[in-house]
Amino acid sequence: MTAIETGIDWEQIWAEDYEQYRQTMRPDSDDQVYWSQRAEDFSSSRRSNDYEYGRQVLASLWNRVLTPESVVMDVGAGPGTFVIPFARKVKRIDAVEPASGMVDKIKENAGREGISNYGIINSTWQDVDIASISGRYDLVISSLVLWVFKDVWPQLRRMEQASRGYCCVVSGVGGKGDHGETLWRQINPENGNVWHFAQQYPLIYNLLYSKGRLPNVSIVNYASERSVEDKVRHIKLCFERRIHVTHDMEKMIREYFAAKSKNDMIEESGQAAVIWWRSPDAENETR
Amino acid sequence: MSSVIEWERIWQSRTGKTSQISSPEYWCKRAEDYNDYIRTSNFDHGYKIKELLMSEGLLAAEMDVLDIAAGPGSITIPFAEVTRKVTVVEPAVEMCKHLEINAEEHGLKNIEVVNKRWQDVDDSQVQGIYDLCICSQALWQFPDIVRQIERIDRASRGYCCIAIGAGKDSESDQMSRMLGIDTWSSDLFLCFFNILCQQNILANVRMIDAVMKRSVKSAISMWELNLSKYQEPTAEQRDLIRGHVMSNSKEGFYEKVSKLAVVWWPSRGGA
Repeated sequence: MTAIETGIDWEQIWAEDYEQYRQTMRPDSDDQVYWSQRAEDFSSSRRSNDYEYGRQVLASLWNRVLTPESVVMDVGAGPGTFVIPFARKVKRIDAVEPASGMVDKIKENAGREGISNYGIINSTWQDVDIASISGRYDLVISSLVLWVFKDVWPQLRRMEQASRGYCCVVSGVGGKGDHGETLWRQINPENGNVWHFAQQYPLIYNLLYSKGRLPNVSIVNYASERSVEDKVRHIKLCFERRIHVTHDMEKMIREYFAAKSKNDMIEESGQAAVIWWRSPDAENETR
Repeated sequence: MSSVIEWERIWQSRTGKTSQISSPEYWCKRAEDYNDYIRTSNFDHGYKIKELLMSEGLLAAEMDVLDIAAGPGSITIPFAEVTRKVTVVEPAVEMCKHLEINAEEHGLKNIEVVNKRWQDVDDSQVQGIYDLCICSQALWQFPDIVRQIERIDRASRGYCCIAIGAGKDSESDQMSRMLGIDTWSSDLFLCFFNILCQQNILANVRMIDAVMKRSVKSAISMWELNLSKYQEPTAEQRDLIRGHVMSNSKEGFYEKVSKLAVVWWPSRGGA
């Protein structure tokens, strides 16, 4: 009995979870504006420990999926989470990133590292013309981005169409007990868990399997750090997508992180599921 | 929504009947054809899993391994070649005999065979004493899956590994339907995967190609004995089986490649 035979429609479940998640946000909350505002603190976090998150994902794919000759596309590249560590090892990586603040960070971080074997497509993934990049990449990867798509399966199919080899989705599995969730419950206990949908694992795995894919999974551990100021900014922006953050709330957030800091830095650790599979479009090409 | 699906109950309903009728006596009858499959396939999936786990640093010369429901040694033989000791728990005495012959032929003396059902092993005797506990292609024998995962987890001080068929096996499903055999125990992987997630076990998964190569006689025996769990095969069904096996065989061998999910995680008390 496959997932299809259980009668479970994973696309439908995804769409319902998506709606539920978006309903926790203000109607005027704009993803691109939000991520541009987040560029500074997110870049700082991703850079920490020499891009440890990106390096761990790279290591889990190296020699299985990636070689020095690989050409990679990163969908929703953020501040260069993968662009910087991957570009050090592979032939080329192209970043699709709609938020201008993040694009600036990719350029800044690449410049700092002396990296030039990358490209940037400043666009949403939905607006990228797939016909023009069909079968061009050995790996099409996306990390913590799928939650912006209500129609997640067509977007995953587009990733497959762009690939002549593999696709990969990286999903956080850290789950409960993170700072944001703890603070949210303190500030706004009656308003549910806003982090629920951001943890897409294992939903995304079930969806892929139900579509006939047989994905592999590697669980990776990583550590990161950012300043108290960056962390306060992160949480404040995240909460402001949902509620008006008062002066008292901001004070509570600041005090919370000040108490948790060491040398004015907040250390965090996380786990992520690296899910990868062979694109069926690639299989068709080699037949 | 997805988190409230009762995967444990789905597993139980899909494996309950099949596991009940697949007794050690049944596996004693199956020992010869199953051993033929493992030997003719040159222990294919066992060696592939060994290579995979070695590349992940989970198998090494100083390690002790527990192989649950080992059959004729598909995992035991390749693993015993590279570890200190493999302890086997196998309920079918005829399977144990084949395993011992296979071990001798491979010159292996570091295998201990315990002729028991895993469910009857005393937990207090095996707690945290193995570096790796593995169960390959036998998990469907346990309808009380969560309890057995917990027991496997407790027996390990390092890692746990489960190998389980994945994806659709159209040929077998079609044949089973033609014979009127219950196919609810095929493709249990996703159910197992979700049970692990609901138990907060974050597992690694690799999909490998497993080769099943066996003699025509072995393949016919497999289907006839499988059917005999449900009913005495009729002459018409025997013809159907023979026809199916012959049309899928070349030069006296029935061969197919299917997907096997190799799933592993650090034990909660160990690694």
